[in-house]
Amino acid sequence: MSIELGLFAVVAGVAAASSLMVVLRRSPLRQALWLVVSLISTAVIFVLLHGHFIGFIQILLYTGAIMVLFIFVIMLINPDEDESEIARSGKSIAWTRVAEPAAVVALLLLCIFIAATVSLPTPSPMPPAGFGSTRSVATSLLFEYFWIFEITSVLLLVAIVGAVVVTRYERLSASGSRDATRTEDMR
Amino acid sequence: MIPTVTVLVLSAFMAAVGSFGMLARRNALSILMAAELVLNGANLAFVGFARELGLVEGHVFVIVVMTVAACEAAVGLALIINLFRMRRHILLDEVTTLKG
Repeated sequence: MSIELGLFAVVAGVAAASSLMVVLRRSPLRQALWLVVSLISTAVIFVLLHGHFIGFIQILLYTGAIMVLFIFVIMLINPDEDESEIARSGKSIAWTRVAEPAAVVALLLLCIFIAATVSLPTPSPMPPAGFGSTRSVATSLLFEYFWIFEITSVLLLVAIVGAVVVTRYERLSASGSRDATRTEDMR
Repeated sequence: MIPTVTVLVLSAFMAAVGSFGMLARRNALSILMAAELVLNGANLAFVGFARELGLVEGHVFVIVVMTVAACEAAVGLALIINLFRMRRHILLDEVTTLKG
């Protein structure tokens, strides 16, 4: 029990500090790395609150998918003047500039395993046994809230198609009308 | 047992920091990241209340919020890339074409 509270205090401090760093840092790349720290520490707190499934989905979906997308876009457009100066002069970015978030992420990954083992034996009355497990979340999501699940999938499809259309639009209009491009494709 | 109030305070703090970031920054990427921070704070409140009430519905809504965040990030980043193609910068206070 006291391990649980101590871990929560540490991880909550890390979460608060890293969210501040997200807002206070200048370079978007470092903001993104601190956001990764913030999201993973939130995942540890989810696990501590008996949300095991949610905690691991948070890591997979947020830091594994969304933040990778963010960092790809940061690499593509390179909005930071300092970093583009460095790139032009041929020097690589010093590893120490991203070392602090990387070290905190490593510590948090250790924390999540401790959190999973600490919070596994559910204290008897309040959260019922198996609360927050994959089975209970899936039962609720796929039976009780089936239509929300389905509508969310439609939303994802619309967002993906929308993103593709928005990023392709300029290229199409630059090479004349849509029909012109289409006939070029057919040839 | 972690007190739920502490979780809610942390969640409110993250949402507040995120909304400050959304207001204070000019860079579109920074604003989008601050929006992710706000959604993350909301998720924390959902999970805290789910534990407090013993209802797994909170976790279901967290999954829905995560999906919406993924959609928002995809469309937002597509718009940012398009904006960068047109303007060669992504500073939002200089994009005033629709200003009356």
